Amino acid sequence: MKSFLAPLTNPLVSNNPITLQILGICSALAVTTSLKVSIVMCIAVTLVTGFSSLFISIIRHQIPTNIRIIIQMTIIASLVIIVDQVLKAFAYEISKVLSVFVGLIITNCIVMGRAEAYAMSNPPIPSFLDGIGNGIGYSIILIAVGFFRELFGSGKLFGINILTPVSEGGWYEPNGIMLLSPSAFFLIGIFIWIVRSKIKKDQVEATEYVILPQTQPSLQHS
Amino acid sequence: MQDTPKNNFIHKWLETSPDKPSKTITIAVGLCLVCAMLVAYSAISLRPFQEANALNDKRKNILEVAGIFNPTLSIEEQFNGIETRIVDLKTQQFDQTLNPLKFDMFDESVNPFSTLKHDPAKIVKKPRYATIYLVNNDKNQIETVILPVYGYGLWSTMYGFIALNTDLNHIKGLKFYQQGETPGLGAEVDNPRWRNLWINKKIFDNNGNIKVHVSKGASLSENAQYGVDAISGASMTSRGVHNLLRFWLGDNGFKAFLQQFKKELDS
Repeated sequence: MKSFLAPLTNPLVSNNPITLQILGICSALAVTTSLKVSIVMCIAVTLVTGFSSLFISIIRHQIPTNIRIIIQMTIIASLVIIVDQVLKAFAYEISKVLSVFVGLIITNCIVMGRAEAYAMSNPPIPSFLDGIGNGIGYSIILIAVGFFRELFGSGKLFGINILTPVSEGGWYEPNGIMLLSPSAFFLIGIFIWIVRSKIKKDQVEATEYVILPQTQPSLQHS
Repeated sequence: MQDTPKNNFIHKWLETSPDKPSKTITIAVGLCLVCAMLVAYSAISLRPFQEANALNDKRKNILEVAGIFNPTLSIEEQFNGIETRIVDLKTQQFDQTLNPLKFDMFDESVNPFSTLKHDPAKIVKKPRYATIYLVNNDKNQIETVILPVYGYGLWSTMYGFIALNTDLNHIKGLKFYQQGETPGLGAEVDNPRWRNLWINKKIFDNNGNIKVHVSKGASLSENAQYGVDAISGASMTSRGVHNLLRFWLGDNGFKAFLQQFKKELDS
């Protein structure tokens, strides 16, 4: 049972797509300014990764090697368009906020990364679980980033005031950088640091090069 | 199992290497067909829901900008009191030939657009016809006039409505229903606190010069009756709002129409 579920549970921490594989960073920066949007994005990405892996795995023996990336793209793109259409029909407000980012799921490296790395050489069920697992691993990080960015950037969670900002008569001075993309980089960096230094020490990569001390003495200022 | 010739054929086809050119092409074409059908099916079967959502959303924004939106009533019911009209921006008169309920002012196949030489709102092309909304009260008198406005902010074209009093010189509300500005900074154009600043601002001075503006410290200046403070941290978006209002309420926009219509309302 454990090995059956391994493709689902591995990507949560030990093989997390963001903190270990460093995939899907672009959308982690773009959509995490508020928690609600992050969660919808997570659901969409998880579904697309799961089902694209499933379908690609089903037809994996029939995919011509030369055009395999294009075939994967076609399947992923079709799924993303369907997700976009469903959101527009049943969650109009959120689809307005996500706007172009739904379309950009197509370019999310996780989806293609899993299709190429796992689904092309594994049976359908494990591939599906792997896709869902990676989607959830991505979601964990995205929700954590969204939590900190919305809380410190606008003093809210799910649009409800937690730290009432000064502009609405409270005491909290919102931290503007949290609303801009670089803050997600800092947060993800901190997460990777925590995971590698406390939880999974084996993720620390071996040093490839040793930096030598400066060979020239630095210039003296007189 | 006894293979019928047909099964045998499929079986053989599945066994052939997908790298054979003929099979590569068959797979590519087949997959595209299947995907195209799925996408087309989802798009067409969901279209009625999407159109209803888009229409409802637009109507909700119109009701909100007029300040009469009531979340407990259905949007359709509340929209009954609102009359949709079309203004010809060339003649600055009401247009009687087009059906306002079916007309989409952003559809270039029904609305001729002309390229702008002077383009402060950065919209490149100006429509010939614009859809406006008249809110009637219980006594069937016009209470509010709602005009469409749009222009470029920092990242995106901001689409909105401006609601005017019957003197066609005081603002009742300004609201953007579609924009992609920075969340927390430029997207604060959606913040109700900022939107409320617009209420009762004057547009034109007594000589008919356009005076409405967005600027830093506008509420403290001597022209405070015409001005709204820019949003801090969102200078470009604020400038965008300023420019688009100046454009749409100016000579290239609705100015002459408003003067004309005011005479009609006063008489």
